[in-house]
Amino acid sequence: MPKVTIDGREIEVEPGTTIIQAAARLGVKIPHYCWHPRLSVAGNCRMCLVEVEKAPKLMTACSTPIERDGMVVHTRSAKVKEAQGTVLEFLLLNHPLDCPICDKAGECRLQDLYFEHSRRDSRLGPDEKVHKPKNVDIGDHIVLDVERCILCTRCVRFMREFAKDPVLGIIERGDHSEITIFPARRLSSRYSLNTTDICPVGALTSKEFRFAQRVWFLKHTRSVCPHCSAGCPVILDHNRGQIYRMMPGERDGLAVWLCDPGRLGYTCVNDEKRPVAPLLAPPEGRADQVSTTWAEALAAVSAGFQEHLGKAGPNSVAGIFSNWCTNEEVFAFTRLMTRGIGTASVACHKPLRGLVDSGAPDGILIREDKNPNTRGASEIPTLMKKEPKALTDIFDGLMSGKIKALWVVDPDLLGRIPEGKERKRAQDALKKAKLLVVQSPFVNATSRLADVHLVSAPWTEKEGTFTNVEGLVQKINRAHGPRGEALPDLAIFQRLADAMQINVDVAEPAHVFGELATAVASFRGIKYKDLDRGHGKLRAPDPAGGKQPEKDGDTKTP
Amino acid sequence: MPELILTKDLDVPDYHRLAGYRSRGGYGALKKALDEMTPATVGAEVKKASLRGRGGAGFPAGTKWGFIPAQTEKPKYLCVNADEGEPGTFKDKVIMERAPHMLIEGIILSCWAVGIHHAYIYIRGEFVKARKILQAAVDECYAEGILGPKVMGKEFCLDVTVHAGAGAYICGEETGLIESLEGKPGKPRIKPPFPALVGLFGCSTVVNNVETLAFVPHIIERGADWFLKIGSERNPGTRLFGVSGCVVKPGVFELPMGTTLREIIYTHAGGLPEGRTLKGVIPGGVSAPILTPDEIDTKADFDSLAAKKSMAGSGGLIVIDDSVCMVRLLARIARFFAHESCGQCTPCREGTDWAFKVVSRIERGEGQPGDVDKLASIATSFAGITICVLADAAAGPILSFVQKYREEFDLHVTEKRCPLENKAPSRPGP
Ligand SMILES: Cc1cc2nc3c(=O)[nH]c(=O)nc-3n(C[C@H](O)[C@H](O)[C@H](O)COP(=O)(O)O)c2cc1C
Ligand code: SF4
Ligand code: SF4
Ligand code: FES
Repeated sequence: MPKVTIDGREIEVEPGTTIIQAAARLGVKIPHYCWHPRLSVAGNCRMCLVEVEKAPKLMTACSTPIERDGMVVHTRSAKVKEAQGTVLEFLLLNHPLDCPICDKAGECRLQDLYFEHSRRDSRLGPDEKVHKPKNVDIGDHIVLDVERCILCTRCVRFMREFAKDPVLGIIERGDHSEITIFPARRLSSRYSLNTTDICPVGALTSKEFRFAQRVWFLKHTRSVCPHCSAGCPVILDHNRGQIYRMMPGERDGLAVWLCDPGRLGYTCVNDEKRPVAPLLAPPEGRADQVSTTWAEALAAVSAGFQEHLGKAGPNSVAGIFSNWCTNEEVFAFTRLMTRGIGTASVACHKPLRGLVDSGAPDGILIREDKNPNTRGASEIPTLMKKEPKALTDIFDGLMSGKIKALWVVDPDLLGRIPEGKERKRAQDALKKAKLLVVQSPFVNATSRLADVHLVSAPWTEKEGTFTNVEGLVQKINRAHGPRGEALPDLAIFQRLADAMQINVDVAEPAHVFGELATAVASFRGIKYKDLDRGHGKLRAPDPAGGKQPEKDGDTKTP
Repeated sequence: MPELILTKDLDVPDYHRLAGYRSRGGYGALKKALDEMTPATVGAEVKKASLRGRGGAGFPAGTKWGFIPAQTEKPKYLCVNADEGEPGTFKDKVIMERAPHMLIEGIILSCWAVGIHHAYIYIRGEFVKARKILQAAVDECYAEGILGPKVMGKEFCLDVTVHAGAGAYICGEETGLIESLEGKPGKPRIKPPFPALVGLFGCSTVVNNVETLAFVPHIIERGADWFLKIGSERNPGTRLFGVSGCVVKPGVFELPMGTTLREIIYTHAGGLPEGRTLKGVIPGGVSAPILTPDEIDTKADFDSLAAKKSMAGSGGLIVIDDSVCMVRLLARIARFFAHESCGQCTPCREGTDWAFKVVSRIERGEGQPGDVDKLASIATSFAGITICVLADAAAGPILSFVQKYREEFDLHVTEKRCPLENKAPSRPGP
């Protein structure tokens, strides 16, 4: 394998590795615009020029492969710095002075690299800048400012190579070149918002994020997109209890792509109408639930459960958990129900339908199962003493009157059951329950039937792990909150157990995970705190032999 | 009179038709090669002749053919560069209009030597007449079995397609040409890989200029040794010099390589009109840095002009006399490059137009102190760091004009007018 020396440090690389890749391996950052580790090489911005000994000209690090042994590269020589300053001067020449109102300001590569590598004074003189269209609506989620574009073609290549919907292109020549959308087409791909991430400047911005928040106010929390079983790692960008956007996280050191529906699926947690305290229906009817305290709500549940347990035996109290529960919640809930309460009437609701419909699977990212933890919710209980029942058994039990009380831990049980006969049946069954307890962050058709609505924290306001379709155990983290009096599901389990004087210790996700890792084979060896080091670093052994996430690059995406 | 090679028979009636061309021994070289030689010996002869590319860079054609792998899984292609876009250049047009069969014979020989079965002639879109004549000649060849499944009855098939460009200088750059032929915008590719390995449709491809290929039949017919005796050292053969500008007799002249600029201008192009004095010569199309009158004893060949920090380029001489404002001329040239930059590389896209804006400001008498230096520094910074050499080509004239005619630029700034005229300077024409 050829050896290359970059800024005095030697590294051996596979033949064909480009200078920019080899440098990244050494931790040497080479400024760049058009290069992207997950796209083809365009070599047009000329920002990545480096000096290669014996080469007559500066070379572009992004496109120059290391083929022969003994190549010597300098990334910070005077010649290189001069060229970097030059390229930045040219890039800024016709760039509008929009920074104060540009959504990209603060995370703009043009601002950043200019500050890092140039800081030259403007020499533009009295010449007019070239003007181009602004504020062009090109897609459901995207606004284009042609003037701000630095023509790096990242978006063009993304749409062609990844989204497989090549609708962007560059027209005209010289400094009249313009990024544009094909005639009569829209940027309507389900992956369109990725273009706003990879656009180094504020040319492509998201309608949802435009003018919503200055990026420097945002706090960042690592999480996982819960809207399909792919479980893409994400960063929650939030401020003062509001999620402002969901950005791609990293897998194997490389930023991932996200689908638009998943990325925008945070809107329901921002919903102002989200309940902020437990809700209790008056005994005579379920219609008018009113806010209450946790003590009262839990006392009602506990008393109700105990009454039925005493009168009709352990199996008269049933529980439904779902593929929206974290692994820790599944473990804690099934234990609490089967060992604490002692019921065998436990079922898992794991339909394909989730909270956001991202559409048919496409072999790119989007999966058919729109839920975050179907795999975890299936793996954990199979290793418990009592296997869960089918959902229909619970409904039958309610209809026949054998089951008196039901505790549903699912964000939207009825909403996720297909409309028609099936949903009607479920609804009728729920209505039969003498005591219906619904634990969900949201008010919906299911929660409205509840005698007690235990208001829980959504995935952005709690901590835990999900196992994606490939068997990857990934951690979600609390961005803020929970809002109002809402509580993480584990805390609710603990409080109810306490109220019923059941001796369990399930309040802390880290602790529950520890028990899980001892009890369940597919979690063995995974340490909870290691999950914080990065997304997807640890994965459970994969009995299904699922595909491993791709590993095609070596640096973080800017 | 020096020996003529390409233009000897141009006056023969109907020379542009098969019969006329044959009446002077046309396709004799091809017959000789097919009957008596092998593809390898044809290639070797061209290599031995040191035939240097007449498209601009002067790269030896035989060497270039040698880069094509002998065995390839995919087809190989020849792209004939007939884009002739360099301002001041109009010599390929003469071959295509008046000796199209000489080009076709050269194409067939080259394809046979390299093992190519499809050649594309990429012709400048504006050359409507040349295209019609060339297409008619190609049609004749198909009708006569010179092209098609059996070239001259031999087991060698060859197709030739004439393809018209749509009016972009950058489509003369070999990889811009290839992209354009593939139906994409003519944006040059990053090299390496060079076309010899990854060219048209991803296949091994030779790109040669029209004039380069037109020499091939003559080299095959008369031998490399004969060819090497003509011209100057390492620059054998003749060349078609296109002379334009302030001369009495502008036109295309075939002269041995190494003829001095002085001889070309004064002996062949009739010198300057009465009462005018020479102010400068652009020796190889507008990309070539300008030479001053005291430099015109330079030999017009690739190496001698390179030694003068200019270039032989496309062989188009533009003669400039004392009536011409150098600032205005440079503004016109700068506008050309800004207009023709394909726009993909940052420095060329932004820099060429910025340079144009600054030089036109100077030309209009609105230049500010420091503008002349700024102009030169812009050109210095966009040169040498781009995908193709259009940016370098654009920098050449700017740097040489400013260096050699500095006073004239400075006067435009200090006097806020053109010193050559009594009136304030005007914008360069469209
Ligand atoms: C901007 C630019 C424009 C060019 N235009 C032409 C042209 O019009 N005709 C041409 O033969 N070569 C042109 N060239 C040179 C070609 O890239 C290439 O070197 C040439 O066709 C090779 O042929 P040759 O080796 O036979 O000279 C141009 C080069 C550049 C950089
Ligand atoms: S819009 Fe953005 S990503 Fe697309 S070419 Fe322009 S700068 Fe690059
Ligand atoms: S140097 Fe200019 S013409 Fe050549 S590829 Fe770059 S932008 Fe296009
Ligand atoms: S990053 Fe290498 S040219 Fe743009």
